Amino acid sequence: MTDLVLDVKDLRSYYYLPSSTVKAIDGISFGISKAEALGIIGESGSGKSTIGWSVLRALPNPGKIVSGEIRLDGRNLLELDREEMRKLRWKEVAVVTQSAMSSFDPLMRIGDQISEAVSVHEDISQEDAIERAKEIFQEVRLELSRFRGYPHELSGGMRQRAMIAMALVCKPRLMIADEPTTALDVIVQAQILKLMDNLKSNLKSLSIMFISHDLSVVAGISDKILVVYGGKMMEHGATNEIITNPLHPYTIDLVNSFPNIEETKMSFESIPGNPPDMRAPPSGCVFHPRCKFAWAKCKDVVPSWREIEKNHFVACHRTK
Amino acid sequence: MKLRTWILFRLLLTIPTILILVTVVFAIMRILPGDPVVAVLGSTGASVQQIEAVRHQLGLDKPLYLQYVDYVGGLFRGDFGYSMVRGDPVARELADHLPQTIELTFWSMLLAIPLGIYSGIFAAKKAGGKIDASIRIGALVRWCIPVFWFGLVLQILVVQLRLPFPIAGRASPRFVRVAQVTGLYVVDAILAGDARALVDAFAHLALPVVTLGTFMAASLTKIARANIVDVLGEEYIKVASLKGCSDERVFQKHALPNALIPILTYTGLQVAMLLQGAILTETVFSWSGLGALLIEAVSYRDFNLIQGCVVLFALFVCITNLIVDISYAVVDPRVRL
Amino acid sequence: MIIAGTIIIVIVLAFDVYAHIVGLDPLVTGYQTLSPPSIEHVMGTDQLGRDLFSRVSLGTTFSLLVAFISVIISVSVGSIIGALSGFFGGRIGQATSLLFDALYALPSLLIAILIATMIGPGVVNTGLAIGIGYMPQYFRIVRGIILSIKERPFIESARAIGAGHGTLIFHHMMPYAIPSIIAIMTLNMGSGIVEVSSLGFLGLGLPPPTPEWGTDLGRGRDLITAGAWWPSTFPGLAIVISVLGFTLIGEGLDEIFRATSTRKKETF
Repeated sequence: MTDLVLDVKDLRSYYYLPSSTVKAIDGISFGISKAEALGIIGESGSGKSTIGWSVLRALPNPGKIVSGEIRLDGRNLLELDREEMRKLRWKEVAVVTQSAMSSFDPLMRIGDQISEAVSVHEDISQEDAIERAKEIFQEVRLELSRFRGYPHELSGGMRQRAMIAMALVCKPRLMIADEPTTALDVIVQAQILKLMDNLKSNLKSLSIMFISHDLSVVAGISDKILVVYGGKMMEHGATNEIITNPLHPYTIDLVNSFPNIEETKMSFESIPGNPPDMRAPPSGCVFHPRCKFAWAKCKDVVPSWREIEKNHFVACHRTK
Repeated sequence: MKLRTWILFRLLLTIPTILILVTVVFAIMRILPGDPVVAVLGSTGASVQQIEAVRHQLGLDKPLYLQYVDYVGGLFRGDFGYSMVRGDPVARELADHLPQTIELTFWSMLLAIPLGIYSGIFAAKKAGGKIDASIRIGALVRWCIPVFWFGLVLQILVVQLRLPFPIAGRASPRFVRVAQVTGLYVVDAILAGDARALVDAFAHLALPVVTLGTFMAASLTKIARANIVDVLGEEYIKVASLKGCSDERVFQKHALPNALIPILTYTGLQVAMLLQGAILTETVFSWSGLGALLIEAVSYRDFNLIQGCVVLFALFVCITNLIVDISYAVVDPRVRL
Repeated sequence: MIIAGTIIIVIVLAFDVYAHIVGLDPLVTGYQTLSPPSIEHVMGTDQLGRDLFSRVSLGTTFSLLVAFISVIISVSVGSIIGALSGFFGGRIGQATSLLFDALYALPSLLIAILIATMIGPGVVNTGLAIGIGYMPQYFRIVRGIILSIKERPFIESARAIGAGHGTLIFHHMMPYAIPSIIAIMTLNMGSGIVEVSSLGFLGLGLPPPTPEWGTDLGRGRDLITAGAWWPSTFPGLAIVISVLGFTLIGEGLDEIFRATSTRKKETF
């Protein structure tokens, strides 16, 4: 394996609620290489967002990273103290979230908020920071006339671009995108995805962690896909592999539930059942209550993570 | 639209607003039961002719709409009518008593705004802790203490503990003549270069201002704290923090400016409460300001005077709202559209 | 917070009930005039020789009663007009809005003073005088809520099944306003008590010799310089404590309602 930009090993993050403990992610391991995009796909409650926020070490309050390693360029982020993490955050790893409107300070001009990201990390002059901000502004195809504008003056798509610009202005190694297109309409969504794709190729050392529940969106932009469910990994492989040859029953269901523009599939299959209650997850394989292929073993024994085909990993008893 | 245009629009809007307020006051006075003439003449068994004469003199026998037109027209000319009891123009009475109220409210605000808002900010910073709790409880309790009782208690304390503070009035008798120019004792003392008069004026301001100011500060503290805590929960605060801004920077540059806007609006709206408090404070400390004038007019059923005072209060509120709205537009870019 | 507030109110009411049960008479004169607090007269006597403890305890009845009346009046009138204004909208809506905005601009005490002067003293009259000043609050809130949910699909569907105006307003829409209204009603009980006593202090409101906190402490004013601090202190204390009780309850309710309505979804 080439040098990994991000190397996560056996990460566990739990939320300690007053009445119970939610094991949001319980043993997640993966790696992202330079200029690679990893798509993390799962339903609400699967733990996919928790992965992103754990890497950023910005879990909301009752959440804690319990164990594991998060290595960014070899450095274990969990060993850094608060101040070191603050300096590293944004400079090495940045995030783009779903809510672009509420992510910007309504009283400050967009351009100033972007250049602020630079000035708090680097010791450069105001003018230089603004110049850098303008550069990235144009990189995301925003007109310079908007630079001095206020957030409420931009459309949804523009704000998302601005947020991407703000995330990339410090030239981080890794950009985490947590449902960045969910709040946008389909056309704008396509534009943003195309933008991200371009950025990936233009900014040669940008790796992306793309988190979503929408497989079609993830598939478009990612090189590799990681499927999570109930806080655990289900399947991992190259995008093409996963889409054309899904091995895990959950992945199979996911792929089947999306229409294919080329085929004339008439019936859609949805996944029966409900997401698991993470305060008391199912025993054995987390997916077994909803799995069409489950047999007795699945209820008792947690399936192990195995490489079934080259660089294609699955956790399922059914695959041999 | 541009800021200038917006301000112009807002200024023009004041006119109908004032008109409506004046109309409401007029309506309240005319529509409620109680005959002003009988009230003025008392129940001393005045004859029918006397009643009619007074009624005619006061213009109360004209049809209602004519009375209204007369009244509003008069207001525009600065003519508030004549005091039924004293006989002199209401406008003069108002002018005589205005400085006192202005001085009291000015200094009270000067105390209240920094005290209230800083306490609120401080409490918000330490949210959840003991300091926060004590500030909140303190403000809550102070809010529950009626203005007039607080003033009375201060007076009681001064008397019982024999403290050297004057408990009533605006100035010791020998300094009264100093206030000739503006009627504002502090300003006049400065203009006259009289240091002892200045000290005396402040000494007399002390108790009333503490009474009224701490009351207003209490509500400001609560609002300030609540708004800041609300803003701190917003998404963009989290993002700013993630972006690498230090906690201090997030607080000063992002949280405070956003929180100050609703705080500002609320402060403006509190002027109505301040005037209310002024009425009571003036009574307690025997200051003959507009509030005391109103109470006196009320006890004499001097309708024109009552009306004049209320209209003036309403004007105060209108102007303050105007200032608040304009400041709001200057500070918040979203308003101007 | 609510618990603390409720406890306080219960204590205050206990005083009142005790006074009623024991049969204390606030009007009896004849005790030694202006005697300071003692075992016999826990709060001392006033300048007419009346026992202050009786007056303060029984004064509870009046203050709470008037405040209650004012709240009932302001809630009912304000909410109903607000609901109608928001529901029907158009010119009526705008006109009523303008009217209540104007009313809202005037300090409530001012309005109360004016009206009290006009219609004279008395429990109901004073309640009315205070109540009118607080109507705009309820008007605004209810109108705002009605306006915001008027266009929601569930209202449309209710209309489609043939629900009449009345049903729509009272059965479907008003429930949304109830939490806010209740919180404000409680807080206004506190404000109402302050206003009754303010009016009493100014000589308006309830006629003498009714034992009213504000009136009593107002008449105690001139005695301060003479060193008699108790006629003005104890009634005031009663005011503060009861207002504190209601305010705590109201603030506690407000916090609860705020917390449940703005709960953001946590995404894991």
